[in-house]
Amino acid sequence: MKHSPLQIVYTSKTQTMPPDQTNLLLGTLDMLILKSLALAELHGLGISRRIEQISRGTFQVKPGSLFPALHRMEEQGWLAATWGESENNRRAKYYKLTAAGRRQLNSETKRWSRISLAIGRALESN
Amino acid sequence: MSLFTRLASLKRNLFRRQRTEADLDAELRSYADLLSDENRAQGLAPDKARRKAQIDFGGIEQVKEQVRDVRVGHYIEMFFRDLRFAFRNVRKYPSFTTIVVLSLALGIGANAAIFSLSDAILFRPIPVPRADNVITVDTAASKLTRYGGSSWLDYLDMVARAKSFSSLCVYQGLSTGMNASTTAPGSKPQNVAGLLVSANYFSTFEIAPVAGRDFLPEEGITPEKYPVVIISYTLWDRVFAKDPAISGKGINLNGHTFTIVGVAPKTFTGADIFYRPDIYVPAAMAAQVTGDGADTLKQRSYRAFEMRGRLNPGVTLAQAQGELNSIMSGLEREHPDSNRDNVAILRTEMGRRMELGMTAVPSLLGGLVVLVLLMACANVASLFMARATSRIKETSTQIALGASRGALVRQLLTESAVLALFGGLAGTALAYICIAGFRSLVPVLGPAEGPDFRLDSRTMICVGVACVVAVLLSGLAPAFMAVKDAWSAVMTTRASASASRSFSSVARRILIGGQIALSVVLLMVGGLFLKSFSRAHSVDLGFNSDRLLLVTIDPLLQGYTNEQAARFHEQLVRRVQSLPGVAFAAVATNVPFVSGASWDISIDGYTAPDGEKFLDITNSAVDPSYFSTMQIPILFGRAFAPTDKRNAPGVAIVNETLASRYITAPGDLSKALGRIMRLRDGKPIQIVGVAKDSSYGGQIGAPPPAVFYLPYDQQGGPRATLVVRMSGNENSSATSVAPDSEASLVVPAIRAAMSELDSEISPVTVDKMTDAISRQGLFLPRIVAFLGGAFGLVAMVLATVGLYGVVSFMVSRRTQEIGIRMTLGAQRGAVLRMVLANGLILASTGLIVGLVIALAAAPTVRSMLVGVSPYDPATFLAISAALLAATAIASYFPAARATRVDPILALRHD
Repeated sequence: MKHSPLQIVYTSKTQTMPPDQTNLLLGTLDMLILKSLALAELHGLGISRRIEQISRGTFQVKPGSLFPALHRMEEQGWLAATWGESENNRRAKYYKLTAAGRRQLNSETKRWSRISLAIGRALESN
Repeated sequence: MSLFTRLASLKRNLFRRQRTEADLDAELRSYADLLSDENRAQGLAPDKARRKAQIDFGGIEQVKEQVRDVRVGHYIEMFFRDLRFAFRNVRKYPSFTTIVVLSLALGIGANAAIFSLSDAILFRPIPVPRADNVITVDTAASKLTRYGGSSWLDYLDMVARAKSFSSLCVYQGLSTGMNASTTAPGSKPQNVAGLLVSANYFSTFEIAPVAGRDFLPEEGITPEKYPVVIISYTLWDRVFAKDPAISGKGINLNGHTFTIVGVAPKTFTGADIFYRPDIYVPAAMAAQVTGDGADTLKQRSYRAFEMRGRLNPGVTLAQAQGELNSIMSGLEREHPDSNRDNVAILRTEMGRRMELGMTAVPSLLGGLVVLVLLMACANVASLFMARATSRIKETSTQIALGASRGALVRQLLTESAVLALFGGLAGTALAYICIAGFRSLVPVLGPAEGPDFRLDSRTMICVGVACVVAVLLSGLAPAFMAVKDAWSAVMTTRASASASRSFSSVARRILIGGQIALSVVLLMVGGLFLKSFSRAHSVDLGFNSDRLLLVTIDPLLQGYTNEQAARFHEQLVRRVQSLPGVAFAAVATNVPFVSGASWDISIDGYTAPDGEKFLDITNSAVDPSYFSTMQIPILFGRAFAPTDKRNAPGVAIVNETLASRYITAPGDLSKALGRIMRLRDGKPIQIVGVAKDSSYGGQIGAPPPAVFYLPYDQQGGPRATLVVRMSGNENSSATSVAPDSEASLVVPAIRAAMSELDSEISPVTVDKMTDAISRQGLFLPRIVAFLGGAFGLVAMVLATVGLYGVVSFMVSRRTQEIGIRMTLGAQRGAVLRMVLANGLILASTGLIVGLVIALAAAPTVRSMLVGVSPYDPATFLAISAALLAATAIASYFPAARATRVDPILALRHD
């Protein structure tokens, strides 16, 4: 079955956006970003492509959601950023997980599997 | 997340903003470039690839804004943006800013000044740790009073028997102070405020000396054995330049050498808010520093010590009171002569002050200043509303561009806060000036005595609270209304039409009406007090206060005994009487408006309805020439004579009030002659004269108290006041010599006469009676009249400015309408009347409401007025007329402007 990709819109408190886009559960985007950086450091576009890839095209992350999340997570100390060269020789800002970010990914993964299990059970129950 | 990373981000975001911004810009551009690379790789032409990338990206600026919103310190940045905007507006509308800041400064400054006044005379806790659990113990002969000192012997017994107290101490202020000099040669003696204390005085108040040590227990007990003192921090600083090796240094007090053992901390200025001692002397050394040292410590009836204490943990005030009651009745059984009917009264320090009845002036003035602040806020609120209406297009543009309600309200509130801050600063300056004024108005009672007015942290907290109140009251409602109006303006596109009938314009009229009503109340109070104050000047005091000089002397400070002092005074009076320019001279222990005392007396044949025999009566010991000097007529019997010597039979003169209240019918005062009265010692004193009533200090215009006089030779003390009536116009024509220049001739002559007798003695104070009355008797009436009048004027100015604002605003709103009327043939006079009527209707409504409130509130100030009814019709009429005139002027100018409207321009208006 073919389905259209979900767009990730992370809403900050002061931002006003048309309400017709799907809002992911708060914190989901953070988790996806952490997951995408688990193996290697990536720049912004790399992260968004990696999320598309690992969610098999379900999630598309737009810059308007991605960058506020990246900057917030960097300020929270989960990510560290450095400037580097991209594969086609462009300067790009690369993000990688810090130790705190790795811990956060672990606990988020556990929490998420608990929640998805619980919701799955709830929906399947009669 | 860790606080540290958060702080690091905060620092980066706030202080390296440009770098963070450049970094973000580069990052987003690089993202867009990578995206267009991707598109190119999929086979698009370079320019199409870039366009598609840009479309996919969305607006770079929007993304940047979203990133900024999540940054740490985002709110701080927004706050600074609001602040910059506010400051820009402050500069952009200078007249608006001035009026708002002045209004708030008056409101806030008045509150701060009155708070500081009330704090100094009522609220400020004594400067000791845990001040709220200091307990006061008064001793009083039952029913006469609830205040009174304790004797040293009673104190010692109480300490030995009471179990409720963790500590109990006594102290006694030496009201004339002491002559102190360092033991260094050539040190000049200076008058210092002294306090006689029990050795546990400092430990009771939990005060530790900053240098040296506290008193030792034996230093407070063994009489005249340990000449030690603890000095105040200010004296240490002033005289000893904070010498760290102060302990063991000598100091001369009234000619006796004492050793300094310690220095009190800077914050500790004594346990009494009206007396700040320089030198603390153990009570055991009383003989060296007071005249009647032996009495001080040995007489049970010599009750001059204030008692303070702290309760043991878990003991309630009522339990301690119960214990003291039984101790006091025990003492009464053991010492029936001295302790008859004596009871102890326990209170907290604050409870005692409240009972002393000092609350009237602070609560009256406090109520008035809160009204002034409310008016200032109402004025500012109405100004804000007016400006919001004029800025409605600006605000609706902001809304159209996406500003949220919250952001707009926050921005307007920031502006109110900035203005309130300026108002607070200006108000602080105003309060500072007022406080300096209070200081100069306060009666000079002696060294370090009287309320201590100051602009301290407590006053500044009051300023802060007033500022916050001002922001909330004056800013909040207008901010919400402004945003609401602007929203509706966005919808209807026509700014003026929507606002003209809006809620805020009704609200403004109510605010202004309320202001006028409040200003009527304030003006009434101010007017009544001003009138009362001017009446107080002409009240008949019962003696002639013109050309009276008062010279207070205390030979005790030179170590005189009572007898030596009496001889000194006698000789001095004789010399002064013969000086040129002096008509009469007399000596008295207590002179109205200078000092006062009251003693317990019983009158044979008088018993109060409740069975009490003793009366607490104001008195003075005076010499034979006192009545002729003061020009107090003797109505019946005789004045004192030189024959009323120490060993002669005891005689007394009573005033009319005493005679008519306690002895005989008012119409038959001569029957008081020959009756016998007694002091606590029980010796008979025959009444030989009845003097005319005269004021004895206190509130001018109040009915004179009962007073009795005793001969100076029989009951006088060393500290006395020389009363001198200058002859003035007797020698020359009536207009020649003004009292001031006359005094400048007589005073040096008196000083010379004094130093001829003893070169060491100099007057403690020299004063004119009129000045003493003005300071002492008119102190509170003057402050109340001055402040009441000032508040009334401020209120009227605020209300007038407010009304002016409302009417001008209305004119500008209705310019178009006026234009149409005039095009259709309305006369200028008709337009003028229409606008004037609009203002005057508002003003009269406020006036009527205000008059009703003022009439209802009038009885509350009755007791504070002298010779003026609280319903004084003249004052009511004058206030109403003044207010109507002011409001008419305030409405006239905008009305006149309305008549100059050019119909053509008006129709094009908007």
